Amino acid sequence: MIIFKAFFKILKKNLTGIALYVVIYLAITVFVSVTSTERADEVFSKEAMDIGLENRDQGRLGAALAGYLGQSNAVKKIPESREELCDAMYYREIDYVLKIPEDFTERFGAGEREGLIEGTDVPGSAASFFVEHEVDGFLKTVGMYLDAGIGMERALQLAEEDMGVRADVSFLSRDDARQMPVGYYYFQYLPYVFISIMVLGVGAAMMSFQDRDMDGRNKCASMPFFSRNLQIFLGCAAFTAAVDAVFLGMACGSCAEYLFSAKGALSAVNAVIFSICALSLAWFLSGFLKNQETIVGFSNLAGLSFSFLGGVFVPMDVMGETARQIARFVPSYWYEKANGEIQKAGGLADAGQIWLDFLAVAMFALAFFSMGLLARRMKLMRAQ
Amino acid sequence: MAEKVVEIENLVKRYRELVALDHLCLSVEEGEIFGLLGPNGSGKTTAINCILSLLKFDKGSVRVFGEEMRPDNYRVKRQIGVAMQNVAVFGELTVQENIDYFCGLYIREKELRRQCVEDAIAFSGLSEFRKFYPGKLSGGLLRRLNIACGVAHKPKLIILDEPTVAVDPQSRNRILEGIQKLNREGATVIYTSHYMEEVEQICGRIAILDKGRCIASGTKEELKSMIKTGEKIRIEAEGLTPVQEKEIGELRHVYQVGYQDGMLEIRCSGGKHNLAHILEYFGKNEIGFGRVYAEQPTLNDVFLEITGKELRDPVGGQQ
Repeated sequence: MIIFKAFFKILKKNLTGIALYVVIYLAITVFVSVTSTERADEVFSKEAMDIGLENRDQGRLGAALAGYLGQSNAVKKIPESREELCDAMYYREIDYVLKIPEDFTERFGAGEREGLIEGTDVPGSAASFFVEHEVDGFLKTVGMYLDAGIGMERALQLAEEDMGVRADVSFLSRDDARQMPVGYYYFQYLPYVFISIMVLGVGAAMMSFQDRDMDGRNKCASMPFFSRNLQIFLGCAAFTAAVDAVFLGMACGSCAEYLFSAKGALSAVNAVIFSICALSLAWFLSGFLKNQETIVGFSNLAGLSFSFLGGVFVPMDVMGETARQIARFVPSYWYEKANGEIQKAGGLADAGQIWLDFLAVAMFALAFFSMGLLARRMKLMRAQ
Repeated sequence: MAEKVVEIENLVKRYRELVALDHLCLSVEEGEIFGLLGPNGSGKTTAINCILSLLKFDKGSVRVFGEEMRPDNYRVKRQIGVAMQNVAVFGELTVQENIDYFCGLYIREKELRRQCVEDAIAFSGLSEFRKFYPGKLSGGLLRRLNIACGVAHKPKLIILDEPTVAVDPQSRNRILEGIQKLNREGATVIYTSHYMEEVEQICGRIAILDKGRCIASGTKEELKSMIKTGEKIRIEAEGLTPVQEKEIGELRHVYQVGYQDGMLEIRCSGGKHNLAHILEYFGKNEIGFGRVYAEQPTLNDVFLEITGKELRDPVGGQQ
């Protein structure tokens, strides 16, 4: 098993680079799983401001405006002294100060629209935009009804109804994202690290063996062709198994509960199939690599491009239709698709589509392997 | 008669329109160091690759140790050691690991392999560099490692394709001595080079290749006897008259005389005591002379006379 041993000695030389990818992967996974969990606790709500309100109006409009603002903001009493008000605004206890004058209803009813109310905001804050937008919206609506000849009381009633209508805001796949376990995020980013590691590790070793002079020397030897290739194949297989073992081992440590569930088992199978695909891709690409110096850049390029195209880093939901069509020709798309469907599936019995996704990734592995064989065959024929 | 280790008959190899080997015929006998001499592109490496079954050829036959050479003739391959023109070792393995790897492609038994590796390290003088990675070795040491990897399994036939390219004189001598040592220990060696001095120094029989054809073969003496040029004499002589120059040209065995800038150059076609006859003429005619140089014909002269072109710069001119 001299070639098998040499294969791992060559791999050992690239261990630092491989370890770096593992660290990057863990950093991304931890970061995203933590931030995603935080996001998932939140629901969409309109931005609420702390408004200091002084309503001197004795009429109906001032009270209606105050009531409207109070529905989605915290309305506070303005401190009596100027010093206290400044402190409150400085410490963001009050975002915006709104003063409604005494004869506001009468003047507004008489058709006066501009410069009736006085607002003060904290310099550099966005509060004035939000509050003024709300105040303007309410008053314009009331003004519109008044201008149409509707009385103040009815106009206020209609304006309150109109302004009460809220846009329905929903997250893309929010329902899923909200319920995603940590295990989902752990497996989500595996394509990037698998492709990068395989290209760097296996690619470097394959390049050494496939170097023209080295290949010639190996062919001169009395070790049979089958035996030589078998040992290289075993080296690749053992490395892939080791990578799988390391990442599934880390999964045990970070999301053991998930891993030992039906979904976790499917995720593990998905990861193992993808690692074989990444190996096949590395084998294919290694046929085109010219020297060892370019391999780190090449592994980055392969890892990132397949990940971005396949929706590893950017959810498929936010990608355009064309991008999604192109992504179908990338194995990481099918991996991510399976990863998403695993979360929706009730169990192994409910995994019909997932098996098809697995099959798609396996077919990619076969395709890369065949293309690699063909490329090498053509190279050999050219050399002859 | 010695057994033929390599027999090449009418070997033809074409790369599309280019004929790399043109009905090449060669035979290498057991126990000899056989030199394949030729300029770059003459077909030496192609011939070697055909012998090793690394290249398919269009016509002809190659037999090694009496058997037809095929890519899967591992029994024959077991007896062949190769060091190619380009250094082919793993940059990720140390000197010892590299030798062990290539030896391991031939020998599976661990203990025997360990001994072979130690012998190869000692033979190539790499003992103190055994833990070094190839990237840390000088060009000469790297070449020695390349050869050590090829001969560690103690093959009966060693094929060395230009093993001294870009090597310093000290390492070159060490490599050439090593090759002679391997030959004394019983290995048959095929040595390709475009450095005629090296070939003259170590090879018993030589084949000169040009444009894929073997244009001459034999011992170096046989090759030199094939050409008109024998001894080449140069004498620093002042004030030589055209008449004297003509008379020198009429001396026995002299077939060409040239006189320029006080240097007289005389070419003789064989014969003995040519220099003595010339100096005798100088004495009789009281012609003063300075330094005298006498050179035997080289393989370059052979190549020059057969092909009309230079073979290659002398060793001193190597890169």
